[in-house]
Amino acid sequence: MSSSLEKNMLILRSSDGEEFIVPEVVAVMSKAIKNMVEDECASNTIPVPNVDANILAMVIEFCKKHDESEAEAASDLKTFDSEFVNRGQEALYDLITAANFRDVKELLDALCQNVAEMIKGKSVHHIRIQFLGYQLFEILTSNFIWNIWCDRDFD
Amino acid sequence: METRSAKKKRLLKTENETETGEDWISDLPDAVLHHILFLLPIKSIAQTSVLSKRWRSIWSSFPDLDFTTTTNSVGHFSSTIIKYSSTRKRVHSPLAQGMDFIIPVLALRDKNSDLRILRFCAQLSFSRLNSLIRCAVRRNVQELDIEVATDDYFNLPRCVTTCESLRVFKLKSRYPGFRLPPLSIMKSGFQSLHTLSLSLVILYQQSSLVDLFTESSFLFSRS
Repeated sequence: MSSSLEKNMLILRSSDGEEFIVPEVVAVMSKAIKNMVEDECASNTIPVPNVDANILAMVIEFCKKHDESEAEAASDLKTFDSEFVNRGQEALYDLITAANFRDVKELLDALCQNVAEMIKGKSVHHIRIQFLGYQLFEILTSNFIWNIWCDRDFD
Repeated sequence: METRSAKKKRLLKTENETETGEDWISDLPDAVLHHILFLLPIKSIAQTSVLSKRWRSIWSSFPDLDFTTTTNSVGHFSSTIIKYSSTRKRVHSPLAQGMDFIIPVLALRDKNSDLRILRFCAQLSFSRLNSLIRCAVRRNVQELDIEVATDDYFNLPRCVTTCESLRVFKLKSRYPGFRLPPLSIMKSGFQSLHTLSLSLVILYQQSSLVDLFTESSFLFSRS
């Protein structure tokens, strides 16, 4: 720890070996990293296994924005969040697993909210086609009666 | 040599992947799926249980049961209660029937998974209320948030006071009210509680609630 700059910066290494220099305040938005830093078991470089450079960059972008904009209007941050999470399904999956595994609460909340919005108001058939990759005829033949029963209203 | 059905399957599979993508959502950890589902009304959550075996187990272990998100709104509830209390006769409201599914939902849950939140708003008999509360306590519930109207006064089940996992307890009686267990039991109970909200308590052979707050230890350290 030679200078104050180094002291407040951490290096995160993604699963494919790329390194990111991140301010400590941003890095510790991940509770998993925070615990490592607090327990002083983190050297200067913190490996982030299971998260590739592409996803790690996105997560860091999100955390930086949230760290900077604490004073900013909450509505601005909300717009940023909804634009940030609006991604393809593959990236969504990787982001969710990264946020969950590294315990980044704000990111996980925003992502889960997004997925919930995607599911909201959809019928079981629709969810099957959109998310579970079912084909229409599979749906018609499987659990047909059960679906009818479950689609009816409780009241 | 490829059979005809295998070929059909293979073609379908590739078609599937390009058009709709694979099933990434079911691969998420249980806790994340619970997190996502918690943002939906409980009826939609229950409906996802038919998607697949995986989703059935997600539903049967779902820890945050909030029945106030069903279509029977609180506004509807209050109007039936007013009617109920003014005539003092049993009114078979749609709400009373609509809430009958709380007990089956609890009964069909995975036996080993704990409850975190149980929240409902209903008009029901004391025996049903009692069995609901007992069931929740057995599942180590952490937050009980109940708003009820019953036929008659009821006694708060003692198991609530001895429940070690309970952190938030809110009980609102719309009509006619409820009695608390004797002070001696209340004093030693509620070991993990940090939020307590009671409404329409009937003090029967008990001087006042103040005794509870001054004599018990939990509220000093936690409120």
